Amino acid sequence: MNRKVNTPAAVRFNHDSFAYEIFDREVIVLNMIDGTYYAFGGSTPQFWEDLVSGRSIDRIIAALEDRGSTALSDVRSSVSSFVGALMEEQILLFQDVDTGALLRLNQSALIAPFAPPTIEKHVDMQDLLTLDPIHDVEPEKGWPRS
Amino acid sequence: MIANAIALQRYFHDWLLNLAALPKVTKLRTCFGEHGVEITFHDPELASAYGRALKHSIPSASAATILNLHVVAQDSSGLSLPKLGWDKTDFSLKRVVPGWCDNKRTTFLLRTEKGICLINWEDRLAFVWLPSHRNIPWWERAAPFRWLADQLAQRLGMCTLHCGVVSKDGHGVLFAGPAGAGKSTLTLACVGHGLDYVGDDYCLFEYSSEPTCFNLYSSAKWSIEAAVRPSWLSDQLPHEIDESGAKAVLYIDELPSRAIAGRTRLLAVLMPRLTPHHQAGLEPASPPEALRRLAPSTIAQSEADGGFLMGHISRLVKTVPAYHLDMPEDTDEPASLVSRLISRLQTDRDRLRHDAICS
Repeated sequence: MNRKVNTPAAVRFNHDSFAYEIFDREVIVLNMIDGTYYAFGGSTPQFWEDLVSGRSIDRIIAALEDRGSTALSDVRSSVSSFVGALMEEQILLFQDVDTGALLRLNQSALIAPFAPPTIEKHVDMQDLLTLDPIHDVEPEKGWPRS
Repeated sequence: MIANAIALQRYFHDWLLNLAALPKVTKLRTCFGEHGVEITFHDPELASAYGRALKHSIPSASAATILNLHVVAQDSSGLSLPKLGWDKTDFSLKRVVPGWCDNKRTTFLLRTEKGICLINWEDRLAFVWLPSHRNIPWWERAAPFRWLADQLAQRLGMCTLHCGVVSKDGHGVLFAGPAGAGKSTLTLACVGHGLDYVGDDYCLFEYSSEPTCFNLYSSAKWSIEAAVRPSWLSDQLPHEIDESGAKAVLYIDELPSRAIAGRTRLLAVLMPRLTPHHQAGLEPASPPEALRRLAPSTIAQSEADGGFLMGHISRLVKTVPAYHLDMPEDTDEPASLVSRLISRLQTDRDRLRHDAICS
């Protein structure tokens, strides 16, 4: 997660292809099309709802920076890299405008120190989804080619 | 040519209305949770193929019929299917054909069977059309219409899960894991140990006041070459073997002294894993671990909405405890462990409820 990325102003979650669930210590995301699943650790559960619901990434980073205990540049670079990696996976999609809503991060009673977000990716379920691949249609019969 | 789902529905309706009589039909009423589904097979061979895994579950007279399903084969009925005016943009990776669905109707393409299904949810009427009963693969005979059950369940606020489930006195545990993880082996080991069968691969799940699993099918499967196999199966001839000779199928309702539970209240999620050691053991697991073992294979195989399924499964794993279950080659010990675990969790639950009432 060290590559340089152009961080957008805000992002949204790709609900067409993925589903997610937030747990205390990680966020689980599942690709509903190819079966890949992801576990995002570190501080991800704290800022995930803000991130996927279109709040400004700059505002999220500022709120995380306010928690101290980590160098400010580390917060910005790790969150930006995290967002970039998830955009590459198509989990997050570009959103031009911040929704402007209050950050849930700031409303949380639990103020944990920032920990860089981590990404685990598992592809062991993909075979299940390739058992019955799509067939082309035979125009003459109106029926998919086997 | 049939241009869309509305025209396809009309085609099947007209065929049904024009039948002078139903000379060869076999009717089967089967449970779907607390509801009933009525299936009319327009060919006795279809009834034999699909009905064996469904015949055990008879709904009560008061159970509402939520779907009337007609199953017809071209070779016995003469009902052919005209050219369908769809193209590849209408299809998805799964059986549902999104381009031929609307709020009232769902169309399925049954690729293996070279068949089609159309459901009108408003009229609670569905048609399955196949070229012949010979097109039905063994896994569809063992778990008939599972793809239809996925969508029907969602419309009732329920879902189908890819898991094994066993029950004892109305309380049960769920076995989670991908194919080959040991769900069926452990389920069958527990059945041999006297626990009730709910499912070895697919179950119906509902979370209203408490997490509950319902039986869907009577079939249980095991790999003939499996390294680990319950000892009682050594004396048991399979009822069916798949075309490749790799999988054996038993219909639990046809076995003396083995019982099927129609429903069970779930107390835990267990994740079997093979161990080289001789002792079975339980190790607590976190809710995310349970989700990872249950959600991907369920969502991958289901025709229901993935987000909807994720919500149900998340709620389950956040409610009941999860454990890794170490499974040695001798499956009697883990089955005994499962039985003791259900008793203990049931006692704990009863005590908590009692304390809550007293306080």
